[in-house]
Amino acid sequence: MTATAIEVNCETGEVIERPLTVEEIAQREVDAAAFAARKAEEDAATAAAATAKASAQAKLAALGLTAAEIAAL
Amino acid sequence: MALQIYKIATIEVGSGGSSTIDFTSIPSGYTDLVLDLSSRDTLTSTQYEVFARFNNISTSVYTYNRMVSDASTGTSAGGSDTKLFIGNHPGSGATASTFSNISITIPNYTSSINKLVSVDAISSNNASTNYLIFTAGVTSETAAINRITLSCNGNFTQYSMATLYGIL
Repeated sequence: MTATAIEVNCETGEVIERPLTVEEIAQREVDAAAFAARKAEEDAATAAAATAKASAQAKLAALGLTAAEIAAL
Repeated sequence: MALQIYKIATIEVGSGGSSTIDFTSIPSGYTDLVLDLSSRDTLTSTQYEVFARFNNISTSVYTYNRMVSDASTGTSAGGSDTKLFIGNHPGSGATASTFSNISITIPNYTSSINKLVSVDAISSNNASTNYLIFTAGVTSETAAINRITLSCNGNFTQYSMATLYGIL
């Protein structure tokens, strides 16, 4: 799909649909790269937190806590 | 004097979708601006982000604090960016025909000081990933706002709609 913009001139009311300019396409690529990098960081942080939680729960269970007791913490 | 609200312009996305929604040559004759957006993303997951830029500025002039809550968890974040995060909207993986409901308020948009922006947003989806988002933004732009450009992670789907209002 060709990247397009819908643009309205608020003074005249004219609406046009046009292909993105070279500058807009470049900006869009920068934005997409930033989004991908941030999402990768967030996914990694979420996975690390889940791993740490599972590890902590396993250690608590090894100490003799029940699942209900661990959940109550 | 009674509050007066004027519809400045509306954009409805057609069958081909659109990468951006762009309001240009915004008149300076109002006190405040309100922009309402109902949108959905062409990408395939359930939730994606929506952004605004003012006066076509793409440097790090946008500072924000936001609170995001789904059905079970609330989080908050803040920082600066080259665009202002204004909320989430559903992707094609979300419940069919659900759209965002995002409202941006820009008071005193012609002033010569930094522009404060407040946003409340709901990203509809008949599931737990149904976000409620509040954003407070500051744009280090001292010129009057005469252009607002909306973008998202993918493209806006057909039936996405944005309406700009001027308030006196």
